[in-house]
Amino acid sequence: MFAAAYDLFWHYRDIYLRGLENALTAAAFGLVLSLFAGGLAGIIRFSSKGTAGRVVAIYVSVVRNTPMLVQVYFIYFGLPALGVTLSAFATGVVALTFNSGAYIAEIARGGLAAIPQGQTEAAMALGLSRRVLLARVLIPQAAPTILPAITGQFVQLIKDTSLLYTIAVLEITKAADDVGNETYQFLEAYLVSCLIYVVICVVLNLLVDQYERRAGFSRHRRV
Amino acid sequence: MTFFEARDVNFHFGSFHALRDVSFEFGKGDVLVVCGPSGSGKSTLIRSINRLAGPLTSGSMSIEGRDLANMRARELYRRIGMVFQRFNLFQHLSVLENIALPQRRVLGKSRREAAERARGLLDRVGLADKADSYPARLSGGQQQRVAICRALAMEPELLLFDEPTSALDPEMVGEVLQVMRGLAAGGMTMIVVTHEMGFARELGTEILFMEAGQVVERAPPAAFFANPREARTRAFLDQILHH
Repeated sequence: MFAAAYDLFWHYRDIYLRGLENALTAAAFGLVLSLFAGGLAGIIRFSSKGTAGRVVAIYVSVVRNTPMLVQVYFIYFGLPALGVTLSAFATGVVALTFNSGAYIAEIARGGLAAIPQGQTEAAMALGLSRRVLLARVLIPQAAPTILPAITGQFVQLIKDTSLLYTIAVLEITKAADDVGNETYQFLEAYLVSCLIYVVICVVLNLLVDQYERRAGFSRHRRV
Repeated sequence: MTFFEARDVNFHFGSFHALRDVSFEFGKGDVLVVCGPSGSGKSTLIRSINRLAGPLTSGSMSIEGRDLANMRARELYRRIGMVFQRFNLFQHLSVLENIALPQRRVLGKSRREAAERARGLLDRVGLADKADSYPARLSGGQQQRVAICRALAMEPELLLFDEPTSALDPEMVGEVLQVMRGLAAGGMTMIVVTHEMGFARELGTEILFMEAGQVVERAPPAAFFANPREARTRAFLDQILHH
């Protein structure tokens, strides 16, 4: 079975590799954008009890309580009615960012909220502004603790690229499906895609483990 | 001459009346010791001075005649420093950085100036060799001494101490009190919430005894310990001195 899968992969390597490339590109964009958007949303949710905080809360709630497939369809098929038409690939990036950003926002908010209140009180009593409090006291302490959860979210994001199959982005799952349809070797075709996902996600986890093991990284920042 | 004045201060946590018509005043260089049973409003009192507790329900507090409620946060926190029960050092920063960061960010000092001042203060409290350590590596007594340095680095006119020795192991209380003794001798104006009656007797200019959010008795230490006027004060002293 594995030998057959390997033969299949080798024969159709072009399509698999193109799928892999598209999936990784979409994931990379989604990763960077969602880290930025989600981090910002999390900080807003943490520090604002007013309108801005409530808007973020609604955003997070919408994302968490709807299937991602529906979010993809909404952006791809729904938004054109409002005059926003995106290519399939752009839809993928936006959907991944929108979805992952909400989870990262929750992770970031949780990380910030877990820091003892005394840190905030000390900063206030010393006259530090809220901006300095966040940037110099809270975020540097929250960042290392939320890193594992963020990694988990990135692995999720890579797996979620498979949903872009439904809007005909040639990513890993679409590649496998195309190969299966052509050869009728569905078992082998999908086995190849499974292994590709496993390899990417395991490598990602190992990289982050490595990074975390150099645990000093957060402890020796300059003021 | 009056430096600090609290006039008919009332404070609520929701429906809980935490401070009731609290009034007192003291002069520059004085050490006001606040004591009383737990839940009496001591911490709330000093936390309401620097707004950590929230706005007063009524009444006013002022420094040199200036109402604290109208003072901009920047000025308020420059003039009033605070030392906490649980030290609250920034865990991700070294001892030196803990003391330097606020100087740089609030007072606008250069990295070098701030570090120099930090080292000078650490030297004064006997922790010069700990400048590059992280708080987690220090004992409670050492952390509290660093926290005092951090507050002093801002050159406050008034320093608030919220039970500075209550979270310490007994053998470390002395080293922190020693530093506070030095501050008092140097003329620092302080409000100290504490159960250390020895400290109160030795260094207090005046003692404020609180219960149930009210000031029950206010007297210089000699009178306070020798012949307390109020029955509630006597009961408290009996408990705390003969347990």
